[in-house]
Amino acid sequence: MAFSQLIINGLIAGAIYALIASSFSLIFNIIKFMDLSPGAIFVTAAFSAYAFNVLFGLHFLIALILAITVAVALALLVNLIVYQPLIKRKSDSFTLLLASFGVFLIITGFILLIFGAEVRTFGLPITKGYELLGFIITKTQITLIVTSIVVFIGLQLFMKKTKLGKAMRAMADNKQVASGIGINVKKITNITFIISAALAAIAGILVGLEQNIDHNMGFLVILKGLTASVIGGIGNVPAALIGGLIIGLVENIGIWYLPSGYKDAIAFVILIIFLIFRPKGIFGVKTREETSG
Amino acid sequence: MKKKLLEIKDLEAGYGKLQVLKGVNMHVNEGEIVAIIGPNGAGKSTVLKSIMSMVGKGRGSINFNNKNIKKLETHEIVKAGISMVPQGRIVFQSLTVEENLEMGGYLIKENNLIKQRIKEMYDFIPILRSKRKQRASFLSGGQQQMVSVARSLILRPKILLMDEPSLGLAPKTIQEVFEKIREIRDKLGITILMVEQNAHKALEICDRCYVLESGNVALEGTSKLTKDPRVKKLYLGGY
Repeated sequence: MAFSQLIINGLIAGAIYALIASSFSLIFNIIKFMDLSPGAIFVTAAFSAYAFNVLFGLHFLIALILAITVAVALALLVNLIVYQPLIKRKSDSFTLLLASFGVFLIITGFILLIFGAEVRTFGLPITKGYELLGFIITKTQITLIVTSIVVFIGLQLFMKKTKLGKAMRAMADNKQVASGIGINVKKITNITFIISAALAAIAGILVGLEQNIDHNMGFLVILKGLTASVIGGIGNVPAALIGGLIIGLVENIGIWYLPSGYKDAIAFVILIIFLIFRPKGIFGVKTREETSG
Repeated sequence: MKKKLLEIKDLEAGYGKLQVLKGVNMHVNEGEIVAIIGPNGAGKSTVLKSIMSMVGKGRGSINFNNKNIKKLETHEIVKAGISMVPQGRIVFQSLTVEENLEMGGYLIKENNLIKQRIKEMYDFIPILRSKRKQRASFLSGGQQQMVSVARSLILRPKILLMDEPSLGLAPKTIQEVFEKIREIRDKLGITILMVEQNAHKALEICDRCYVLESGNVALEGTSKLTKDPRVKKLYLGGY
């Protein structure tokens, strides 16, 4: 295998991690707790797309839209029946984290119940990849990369340019002041969950296309996505993107030198290094408040 | 008789089981600057927060423009015409000065009106125009307070609540901030209810004043309260 192939593999994995990382980061940044449920949303979307497309025979694009809709609806439901009551009781972020882990287990358990432990695929015809500059890339992989790029540009524009995006950033800065200028924080909370779920859903469907679908696929994704957001500096979109790419690249290039069984371990070694030496991540900037004391 | 813009009756409020306000009565007439002074922990800020629905409320009523607003949510209260400058010159750190002001106009639908109001604010507080593209976190304390004030004025509220506008600012800056407060009333015609630790300064510019003590209104009066021996002894001794 050529070295350039590892770079491409790294970018593909990185794109997925980055999507998941921004899904986590949005919620962490705006609603202020580490929500693990996007890991379950990711699995739900992959299985929904599979069910609509393969089992019900709907056109892939329709299946895709329906799957994202299911994922978003599920995220809103979880917010309504689990998180909002906890937030209302002023539960701390650790309680919410634990609750979200419970949500993750319940949803993935439910999926196991319905679909079984069998590994599923979209059954796409196996096509020969394109050969470029010493590496091979399939049509699906190109779709994956292009989709991720489009989603990231769209997300960044949304956060920077639109009124809603700015309101989300304002709420991330200070929830009480945001409500004090007329921002409906419940509405922004729901929008945050919608966008976060859509990101996780897109990632889940892309992974489903590129690899397999099984009820366990969410677990590593949570760990890698979290690692990516910590490395980037948790709480902003470009940082999550860079963090995701770094994890993807390092773990794929790493297996050039190490046995491939260490692939998943590499991500966590990086995580630990970052947590010790740069807990605020690459982009973690000190604000005036912190520097002046 | 002047119109009562805001009227609080027998208001109880607090945080969870901790009751801070124990039946507060006060009102603000249209066009007035009213100050709430009193020692730490008296519940001064809680009065403002309860008007904004940012704390739990017990018995009592809050009438604004002859409408009971006690049950409304914060964003609905803002919509009704009450804005607040929060304590501690809080700006949205990651947003630029201009974006901070834009957020102040979040409830305004027409973009052109927001732009026009921002322009008016730059005329009102010129220093902000030169800083408009900078991230708000890079401004000095006094400038951040001006951003916070300007942000709350974009909606042109009927009444502006100010929570300790002078807190943590340098004496020279405090002077500027108080001059601006007077201009907000005189030039923009906005009624003001403010909480102030700096009782001396507050009494200088206010029309009327309430002295709050452990959750109750202990005294009510005009700026002549400066001469009241009790106020002098309790709150002005240090100045």
